[in-house]
Amino acid sequence: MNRKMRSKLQAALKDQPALQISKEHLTQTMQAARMAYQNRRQRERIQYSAFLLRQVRFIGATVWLLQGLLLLCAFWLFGFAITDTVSDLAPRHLPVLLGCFAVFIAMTGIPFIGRSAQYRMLEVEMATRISIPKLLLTRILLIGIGNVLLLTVSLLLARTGTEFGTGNIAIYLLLPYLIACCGCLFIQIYAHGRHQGFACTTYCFFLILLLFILYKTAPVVYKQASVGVWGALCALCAVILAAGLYRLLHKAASLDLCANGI
Amino acid sequence: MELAIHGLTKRYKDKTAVNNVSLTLTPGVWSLLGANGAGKTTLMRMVAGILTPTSGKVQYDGIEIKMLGEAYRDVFGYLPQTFGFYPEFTVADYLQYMASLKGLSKRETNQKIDELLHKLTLADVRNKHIRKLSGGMQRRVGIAQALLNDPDILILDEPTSGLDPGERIRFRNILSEFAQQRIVLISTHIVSDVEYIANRNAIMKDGQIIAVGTTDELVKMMGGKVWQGTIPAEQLHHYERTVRVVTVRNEEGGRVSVRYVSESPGLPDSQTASPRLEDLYLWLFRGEEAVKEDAI
Repeated sequence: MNRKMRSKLQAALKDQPALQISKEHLTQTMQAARMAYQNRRQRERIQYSAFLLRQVRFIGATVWLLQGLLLLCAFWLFGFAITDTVSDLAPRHLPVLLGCFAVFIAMTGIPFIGRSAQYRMLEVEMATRISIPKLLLTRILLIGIGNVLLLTVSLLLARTGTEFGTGNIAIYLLLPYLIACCGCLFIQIYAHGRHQGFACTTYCFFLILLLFILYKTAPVVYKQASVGVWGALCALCAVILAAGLYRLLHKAASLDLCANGI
Repeated sequence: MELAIHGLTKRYKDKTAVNNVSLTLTPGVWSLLGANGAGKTTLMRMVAGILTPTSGKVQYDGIEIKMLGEAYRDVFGYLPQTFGFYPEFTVADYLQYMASLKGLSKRETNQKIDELLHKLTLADVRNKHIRKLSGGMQRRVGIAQALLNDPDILILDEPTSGLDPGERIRFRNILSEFAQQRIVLISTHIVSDVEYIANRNAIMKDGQIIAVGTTDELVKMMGGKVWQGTIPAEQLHHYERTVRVVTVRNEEGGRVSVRYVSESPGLPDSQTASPRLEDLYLWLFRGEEAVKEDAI
């Protein structure tokens, strides 16, 4: 029995005036309830944690492979190239490189955007016990685990051998990552299913371009003085992301709301 | 066990797809017959709980399905009209994925997959990519998916499209066996698919249920309206405009035997014929393109 049903029953019981309970009726009710309980088919169902583990094979494996390749790039970029004085990549370029890399990290989730609608699995997935909102959350969670790991490794690698503090590096990574995630999420909510992947990719590349343009034309944006603004924007994006996520899950609850794709 | 539909309506901007439909489904095979665009798929989606009705409600054993939530979906099997799958999936992958969404344990999943692959003669293609299978085989994979959780309510939207005659017969037998103490609702416009297995039929037209009953009850409505006559082949074109022809069979001597539905005999020397569900369908869906399939 779900929570809605339980509270409705409780409210209905409270609304009842004091009832005269006859022992005979009580016995009959008990017998009927016992019979109904015995007659029901026992259905063994897995817990959410078991479901999550089983999705690793279908969702996690692919996305983690992609994220693994990006991890190798992180080792090369932040662990070797940026600290190597021979390389063209000087440490002063670190903020913009971190931002672009963070956008690439966010992009690893794009292949899973609109996938159910694209492959006409939406209807059948909606009619299952788990339902689409939970499935979407699971996908986001599995992609998110890899992303958090990648962001953390990038942060640790970038921290060594540069003058930037850990907080600054975290913010240079987080803001572009969150902006990319917010954009992709809103594209998923409002764009047509078939175009979602393309729209998200275009958006992310546009974001990377913007980061470069800002770095070239307004380097002050990356200066120490702007870190406070970056932090505030990070908080704002986190709120927008949470709201977007809520909107997406609400949309996913009914076919007429998400006919364009989830 | 009872699935009750009360005044279900679905309105889109400029169209009412389902209009105030009420129906009580009890265990057995139910067919939902109707031409394309009659509102069958919309009705089924609302019964499946994946489409929100504009008004009305669906109750399972007296409780609204929206309230039951996952408890309802737990006893529910659904095959949509369009069969989709992720391109990297093999048959086994697909069924394992669906079993996990249905909350089946690993042990039960393996057991159920083996059983269904065998029943639906898919065991040989277990490890083949679904995209490489024929349309009929893909449809059977879809049917297997719907049966994975051993549902109490099974909703199949056009389940036989793409199946060859042999597969259709096998499907009917599986369904008849499965339907004991369960509610099975099959939507189709192919009358012959359900004529012999449906305990009850509901006929839908323009978003409304226009007739409900057993095949015998419905067929009785056609008493005295089904005729058979023989005419020269060259006159067929002329008579096709005056009567609703069900079947035409070539006879010797350049003549054709015509089975048709009409209030009164429309061909010379016509005799009444025993009515079938297909005749009723054609009678009710006059003016609409009926899908007629030879009985298997």
